[in-house]
Amino acid sequence: MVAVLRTEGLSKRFGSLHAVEDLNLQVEEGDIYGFLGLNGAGKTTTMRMILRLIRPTAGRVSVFGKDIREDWIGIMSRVGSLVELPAYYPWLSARKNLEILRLATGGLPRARIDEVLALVGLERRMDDRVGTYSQGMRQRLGIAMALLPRPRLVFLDEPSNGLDPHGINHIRGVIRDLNRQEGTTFVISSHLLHEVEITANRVGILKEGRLILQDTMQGILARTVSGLRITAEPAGRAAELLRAQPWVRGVKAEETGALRVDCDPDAFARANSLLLQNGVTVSELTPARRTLEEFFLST
Amino acid sequence: MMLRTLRLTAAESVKLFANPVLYVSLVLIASAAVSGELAQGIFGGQKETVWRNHHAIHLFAYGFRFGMAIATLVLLVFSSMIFAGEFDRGTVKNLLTRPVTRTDVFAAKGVAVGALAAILYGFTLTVSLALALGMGELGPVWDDSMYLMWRDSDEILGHARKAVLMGFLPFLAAGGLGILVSNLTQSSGYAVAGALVLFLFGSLLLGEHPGLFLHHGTYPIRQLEIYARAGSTRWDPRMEEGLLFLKVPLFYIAGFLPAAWAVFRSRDITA
Ligand SMILES: Nc1ncnc2c1ncn2[C@@H]1O[C@H](COP(=O)(O)OP(=O)(O)OP(=O)(O)O)[C@@H](O)[C@H]1O
Ligand SMILES: [Mg+2]
Repeated sequence: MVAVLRTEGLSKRFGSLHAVEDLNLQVEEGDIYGFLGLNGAGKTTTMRMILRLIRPTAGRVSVFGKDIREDWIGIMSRVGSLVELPAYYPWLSARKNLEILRLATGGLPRARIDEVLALVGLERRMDDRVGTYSQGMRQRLGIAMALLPRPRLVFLDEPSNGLDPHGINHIRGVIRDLNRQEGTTFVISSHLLHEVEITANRVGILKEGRLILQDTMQGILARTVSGLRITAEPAGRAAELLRAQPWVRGVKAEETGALRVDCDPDAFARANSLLLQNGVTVSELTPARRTLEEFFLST
Repeated sequence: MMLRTLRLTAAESVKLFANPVLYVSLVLIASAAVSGELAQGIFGGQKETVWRNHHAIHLFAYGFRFGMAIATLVLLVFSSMIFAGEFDRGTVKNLLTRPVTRTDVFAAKGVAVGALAAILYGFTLTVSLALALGMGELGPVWDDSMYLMWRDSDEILGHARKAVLMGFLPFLAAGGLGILVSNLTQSSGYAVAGALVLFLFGSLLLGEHPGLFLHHGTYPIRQLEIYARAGSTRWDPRMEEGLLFLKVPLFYIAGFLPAAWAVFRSRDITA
């Protein structure tokens, strides 16, 4: 596999704050890379360093196998990005805004503008001034800007920002189609873990500027707690009984009142009869779904 | 590099010509030029000579001076927003993540400011000249009462031509100041305010000193106005003979632009 993006020892300090520390990312061709981290973890700072908007304190970045400082022009003609908020000239239409980027890119036909606007679902409003757009429409324009140069590698920082459920679904579809049909590689930062879970195939988790984990989605899900999810009455008694069993590794109460039992998922029948025999009413008993959220929150 | 800069300059012109502020500014400039000439033409009274109307060059000098005073402010506003506006809208990140270098972007913006200066200068010139030729008369400059010919027609026209040529570079230097200030802040509001204050402060402080004053733009025209009224003053001879009209603005431009470029090249873009 070819590493489309690789960072080595990438670091950024703002005064005494280590915003990003010794980051070694590796994104492979055709990946949808989910870049996760809490507010202030350093996701945006990382993207800015990769795109040379800010100067790293240390480290190197290579894209398509070349150092970005060596072949910046060649590399950037195949890279698209939306970093933080979409930026635009409010007195111009979406079309004119994209025309400016088309000119700045070079070598793109005019028709490409209408193509990307249709792709993000803005075709009906493309001649209106962007200043009159809703937040979600501006976000769509930002994504259109990232996709304009027919990129092989796209950085999207919180692409779902401001989008309605329909919009999120639509953009997810666009990302998937480009990924499958044209092999476009995406690096997507997000807080929407469910979103990342269903689109990304590889994940990097950033915590206080450090990459604490980088793995395939399957690899990560395999690390989440497995077991059972039980809704029972009285819940306190059920938890007590389960905890006393040698085959139970742990019991946690979810916010909904359901119990999360860390055990072998085959212990289905055993748990059921244990609770029934002790006079506990079981209203729900299912294998626990492994979720990225669970894993993320536990890190 | 040339090609990328050209493409980016084309992008700058898309922004500029779609900006309604440009057209409002042109209207303001034209109004200033027209009111300058009308005020002079109407309130200046009627002459006694065979040339009963004002001399066209005399009117032109008024219109051009007034128009240029506004045009200079307009150029300062646009040039000081040319980077700062991109910083505070965040659009600079869109430009810098295209296959271009920061130097390309800087060069394109420099060319755009130069082109805007030329447009504003040409516009002010055209409006004031057209009105002056309509309202006034060409020919020699006569003394009002004694029927003496003070200047012959060729001399006054030649003088006017020179004054117009000498005014452009100093005007352009004001754009250079705008570009520098534009890179010193992330806010277009501060940039505009800063550029205007610095410019006015510089004008007051350096006054009319021909070797220091950054803005000789209206000076030769002001002198032309006196000259076209049969006054004897030309401009300070050093302006022309010492090439100060060339050296002083180039000196400022050579100071402003590299400083602005150095700041732009190395700044962190966190918009
Ligand atoms: N220009 C700056 N000057 C000083 N500190 C900064 C600057 N930019 C970012 N930081 C700090 O760097 C850290 C990482 O910020 P960053 O924007 O990269 O986080 P993030 O992961 O994108 O967060 P979010 O999810 O909220 O977007 C934060 O502590 C932030 O305050
Ligand atoms: Mg961020």
